[in-house]
Amino acid sequence: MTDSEKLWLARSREGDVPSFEKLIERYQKTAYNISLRMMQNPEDAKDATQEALIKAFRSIQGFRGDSGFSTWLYRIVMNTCKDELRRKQRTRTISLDQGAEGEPGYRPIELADETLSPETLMEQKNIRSQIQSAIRELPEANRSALILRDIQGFSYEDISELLNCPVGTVKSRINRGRQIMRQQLTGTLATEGGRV
Amino acid sequence: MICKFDQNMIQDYLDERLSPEAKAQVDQHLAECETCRREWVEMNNLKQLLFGLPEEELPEGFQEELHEKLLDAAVEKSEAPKKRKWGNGHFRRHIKAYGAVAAVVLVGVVGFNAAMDQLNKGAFENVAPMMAATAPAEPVPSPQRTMGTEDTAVGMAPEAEKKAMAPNSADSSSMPAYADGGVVATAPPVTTGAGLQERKVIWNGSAQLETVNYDKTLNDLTALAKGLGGYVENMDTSLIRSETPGEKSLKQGSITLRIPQGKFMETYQGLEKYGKVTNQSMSSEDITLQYRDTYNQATNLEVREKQLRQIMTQAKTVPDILAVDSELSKVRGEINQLKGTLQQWDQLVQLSRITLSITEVRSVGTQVSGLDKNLFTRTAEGFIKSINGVVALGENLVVVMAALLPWLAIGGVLVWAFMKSNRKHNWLKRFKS
Repeated sequence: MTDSEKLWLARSREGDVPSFEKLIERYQKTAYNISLRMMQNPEDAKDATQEALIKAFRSIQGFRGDSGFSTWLYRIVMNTCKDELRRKQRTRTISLDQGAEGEPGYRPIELADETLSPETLMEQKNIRSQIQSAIRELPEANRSALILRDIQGFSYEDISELLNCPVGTVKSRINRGRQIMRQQLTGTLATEGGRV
Repeated sequence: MICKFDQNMIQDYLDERLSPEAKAQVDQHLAECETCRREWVEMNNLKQLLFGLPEEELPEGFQEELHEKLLDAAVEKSEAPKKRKWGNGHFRRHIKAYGAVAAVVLVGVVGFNAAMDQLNKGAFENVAPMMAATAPAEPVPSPQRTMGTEDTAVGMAPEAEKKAMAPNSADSSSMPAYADGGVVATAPPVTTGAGLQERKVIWNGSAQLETVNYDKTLNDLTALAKGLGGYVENMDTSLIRSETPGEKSLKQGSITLRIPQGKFMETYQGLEKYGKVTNQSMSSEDITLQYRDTYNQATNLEVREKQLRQIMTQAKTVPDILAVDSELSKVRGEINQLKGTLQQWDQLVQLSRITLSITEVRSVGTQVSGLDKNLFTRTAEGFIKSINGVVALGENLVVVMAALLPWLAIGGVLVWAFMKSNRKHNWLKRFKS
């Protein structure tokens, strides 16, 4: 932690809002993006992010300074998203459960036609939405691990701390998540790659 | 076609967590294996896609909304009852005040204690002796006596009673835990021999005595124990060096008596004869159940032993004989152990323990044995004592002042020097408003 961060931290503990805002400034975009991938829509993501940041503000006394601040913050974000998802799960009436290959309900997402440049943007958007859907279908544990690893680029160790589970578990969750997604996007992945 | 190559390794390869050697291995396999290569390509593309997802901007109004919510939360925080009083701000801000209060309290306590010490030093106060647990007691239901007092095969003679005086014999058995506190029984039941019929109760008493003649008291107590058929378990004495020169040093010490159970009560209640009793207490522990259990255990084992001996006569072969013999010695060993415990208990039961701590004093007020003093005498004594206390305090103050004198002198010199220099250079200018 830099000196200014330490100062903001101390003031935040005393309840000073502007100091807290300065403290979280460089992390809030990432926090939002994590929530976005987890919650799948901007409205929920915004709510979840704000909720998480407020929780962090309330419990800032509990931050012991042993793990990094970002890890602590993102952990709160993750947990908030998890809770929100579970809450929504209960109120969701239709379950678009798309299983993995071999399981009932499996519908491979079809590849859009390959066309040249003018449609490339559209195509890219299409692919992105395909990916989003695929992520949505992941079980929550795999989803969180995959988002943190492959989208946000955290290391295994960071993720292990964030999700509070051993590195081995993290690894298997990521692998499983990748497998599921691969099966869902198999057509797209065979040819598209790095062109997003 | 499913490839048997370690998929975990491929995943690690994807995450670039492999050593160069392992990486080379995977490279080679991918070159050879169609299935894995295809899978790898797709995985890698997925990874790229995911990583390539653009980072979205915060939605409009996000920070303003958050700001509002944070302010609300901050208000809640300050209004909520402070569970932790020593939160950083509060304590730190008032640390000076707290410190000052603590210091004053500390000085007050120390000063008070010192004053009390002075008052108490002169003569020993006539604290009404605390006769704990001497209220007249309910009679204990008389022990059940069955037929006779047969000495059973356990065969333990009450050797303890015949023991001569054994000074300083360190008894290894520790003081038993005190069972009941307040109820005092009348004469404890008499034990005859080592039978099971009576209740087995261990009595313990303790008291603090004051006397003007330590040696006499000690001798009296020793004679008492001996005369009753008991003995002195241990005693030790030490000297308190007197502070005023020329005065005899006072003795203090302790003595532990073993008194036959039957005489315990009268001895305990008659301690006043030997000194001024300032503190007294007693307790008992009923070990009848444990005793009975152990006794029965031993008896059963003896029966077993008999049976084994029977078997022994019938044993023909050497291995048989050896087997029975080893069993016999085991059983005998257990019996001896149990008997030993019973013996110990018998000793504790038959000879109650009274521990006395004795302090020699110069004078014990007006009377040694009298417990009732009339109000006037006590008032007079109290008054005299307080005067003595005040005088002593005054004396000490004088001593302290004398001791501080050199420091005050030095301090005074420094202050004078400073004032002089101040007149010259006017250091204190800025304090004058």
